[in-house]
Amino acid sequence: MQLENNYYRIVGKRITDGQALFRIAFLPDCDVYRGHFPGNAVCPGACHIEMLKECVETLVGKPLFIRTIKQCRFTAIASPLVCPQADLTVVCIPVSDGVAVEARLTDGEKVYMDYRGKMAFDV
Amino acid sequence: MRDIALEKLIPQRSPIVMVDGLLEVEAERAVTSFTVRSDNYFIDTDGCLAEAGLIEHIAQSASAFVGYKAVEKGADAPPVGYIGEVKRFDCRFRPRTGDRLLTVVSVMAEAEGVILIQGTTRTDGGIAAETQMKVYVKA
Amino acid sequence: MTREEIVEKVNALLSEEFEVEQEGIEPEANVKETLSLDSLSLVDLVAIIQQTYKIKIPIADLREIKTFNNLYDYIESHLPA
Repeated sequence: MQLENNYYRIVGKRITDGQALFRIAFLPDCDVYRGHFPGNAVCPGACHIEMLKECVETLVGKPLFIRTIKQCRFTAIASPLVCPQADLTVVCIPVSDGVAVEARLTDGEKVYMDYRGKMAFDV
Repeated sequence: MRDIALEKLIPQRSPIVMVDGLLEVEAERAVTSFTVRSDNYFIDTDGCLAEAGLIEHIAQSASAFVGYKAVEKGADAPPVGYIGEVKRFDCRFRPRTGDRLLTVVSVMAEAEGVILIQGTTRTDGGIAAETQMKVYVKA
Repeated sequence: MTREEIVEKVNALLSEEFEVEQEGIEPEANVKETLSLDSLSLVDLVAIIQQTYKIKIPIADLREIKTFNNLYDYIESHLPA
């Protein structure tokens, strides 16, 4: 189920104090668009969440488990056509058994996802 | 409760169909089932269904419920549904390949083109995940 | 339950949920604009009112609720006996 290089590709990464910025390209020939939806490619919100988890795992270097999501809003519909590339900004704050994550997916025009939740180290 | 083919209830198709069918339907509540198979789109390398898969499963359970009500009112195709918001999602464990998920979806409120539901997914091992979710519903 | 009690309770609930000053809630003001509601947050408003007053607001009725006075009137006239 690795979404990296199937659903998205990381074309750039910049880490400044406490914030990481991933430049994301959505891959138009990803298999998911066969069924989501036939003839109308739409990025599934669930795939955005899994993509975020994979990106955070590259930051902390450990497998993670999405224990809770306080709030995750999908405020615009993305697709490889409408939004071939976007920026995923991630702020991770260490907490007892994992990281508190705040993230935003935007292409500068629209905000596609705003995420606040906790990802636990997957023991 | 009428037996309606799944394709009529939800717009999603392979490889991302995350509901097998509707088991019960009431005015504000429905129950769906889904068996996790090894070719599931959200299966991790360790044979577990990823948390995002549980989220998509609950969203499609809500869509199936909305689709059923639309078909009952004469619609010939299910409305397209997207996840608008996930709120207070809590995941206790990830189901494994072969597990059968039973999910209760109850409608908490509706507004123009959006429904707010509470979803709870169980396996034999108890509650796997619970969440509130808003689903955009476009006829 | 008097109308004043409804107005006071509703204003308190909405100002907390949507982070708006209670003083900013004028009876004749537009609800969506005052609380800057989009379709996602509008359903939260429906959920709060329905839970607090044990009433149901069908979508058709919701369309008629534009100002806060409309909202107070709706609650007042649909309160369970």
